[in-house]
Amino acid sequence: MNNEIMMYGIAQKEQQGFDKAVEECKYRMSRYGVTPNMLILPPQMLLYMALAPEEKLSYKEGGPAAEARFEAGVAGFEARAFRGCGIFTSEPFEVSDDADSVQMLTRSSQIGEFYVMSPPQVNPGKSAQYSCDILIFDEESDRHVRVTWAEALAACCIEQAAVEGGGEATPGIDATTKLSFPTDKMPEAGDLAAWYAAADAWAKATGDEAPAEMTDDAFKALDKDIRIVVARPFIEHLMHNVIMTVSGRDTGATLFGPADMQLSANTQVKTIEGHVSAHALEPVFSRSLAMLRSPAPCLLCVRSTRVTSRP
Amino acid sequence: MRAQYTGHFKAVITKPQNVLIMRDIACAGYVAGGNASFFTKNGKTHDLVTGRNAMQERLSFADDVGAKYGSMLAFPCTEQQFSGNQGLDTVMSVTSRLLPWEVTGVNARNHSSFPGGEQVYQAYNQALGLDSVHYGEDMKAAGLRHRLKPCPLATPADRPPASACLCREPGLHLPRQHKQRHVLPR
Repeated sequence: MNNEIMMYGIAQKEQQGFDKAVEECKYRMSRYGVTPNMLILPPQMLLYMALAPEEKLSYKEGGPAAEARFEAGVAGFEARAFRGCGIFTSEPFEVSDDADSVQMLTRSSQIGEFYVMSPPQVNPGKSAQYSCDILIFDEESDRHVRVTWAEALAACCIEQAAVEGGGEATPGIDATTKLSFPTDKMPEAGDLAAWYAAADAWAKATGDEAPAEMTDDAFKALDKDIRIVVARPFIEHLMHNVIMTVSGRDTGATLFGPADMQLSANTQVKTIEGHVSAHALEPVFSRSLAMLRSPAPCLLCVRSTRVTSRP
Repeated sequence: MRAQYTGHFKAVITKPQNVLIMRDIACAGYVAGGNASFFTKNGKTHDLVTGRNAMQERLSFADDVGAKYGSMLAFPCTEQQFSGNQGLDTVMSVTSRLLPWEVTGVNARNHSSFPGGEQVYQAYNQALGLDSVHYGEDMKAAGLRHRLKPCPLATPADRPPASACLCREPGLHLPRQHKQRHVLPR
């Protein structure tokens, strides 16, 4: 898990993040005695890496070489080796006119996060109002949004019994559910009813209708160990991936064959079908230089779903 | 002259240790789940039925990928849970899956990292259907030796399936099956 967290968005988290990621991965591969010499990147990421990191591109940081790197752009980044690895791009497949292209190195990825809402641990005095609220970033609207303690408390959906004098009962999580970690101020039952009462007291003391000043006595009466956890469990982004490998036949091979060639154990899932339609006109000016050549044979004898000779 | 060629191409890795996929190292765009709306919000009130339905709609993109969905859940908690050895620190699981340190030890098989603890988890699980939420495990990384499955750029198809629990298929993660899947046919 640590590796996933470290690698998540590392190329953008810091200027030299991609450098660090490459070195980390080279170290991991070295444990198998492998020295990689090739990186395969999606084109969008290549553009970012070639033009975004200021430390490598601004004159004041990197001198004349940085300026040259910036001028060279993507082509220059591709031409140079990056930390000992040649750079190659993975171009997207155009499936059809009315379908999205498929980028092999881009996928949808989910992460989660949580925030802990906590009441003030020292008496806020005249600043008590809204002191339990938090500001969190809303990625959809690109701004910070205030989440109030009262709203988070309501979102916990804890069952409420009808209150004498007007309040209605609200369905929700059974209020007799026992907490595994009750606070010291809670009664022995340590259930959600006690938790809700303590949290509601904070909502009243710091909400819209809070008194102008919180006295010491009022502050002491409140349970300061109450917390609300606000979780965002399904944050989803399109994420780029990069392949680090050893080039050449030692790693593997690309097999090709006619349309009925099938290879692998689970062929239906794993087969990538390439279909090229083209209009081509190739006039021959010198018949003596032209030669009809039959298609190059596949190196492997492939029949049905079996490979009869190993590569 | 019209030319048409149909062919099958297949990249075969014969030495897997020569290939390492650096996963998710750069963000290409936002999809969903990062706003500040509660799943349980129903007009001016909050309720669990709305929360359950909204989560399923979000995970299956019931309306459209670009539609507005909820993103947040709220749970009761106390400081004692953060300060205790068996409680919540920096990681919590909202699914039925236990964290590695919850599987063994004094409170084995106990959602002690869930805000409120085991009983609170059971109550929310029943109300929100948390056990139908995908674990979040990278199935392809775990089961396919870090290979990637492609997805369309604009409409990601590689999303973890909503409401699909893992380990439904008996023995999916057994080493024998794992091996069978990836050995080249001879």
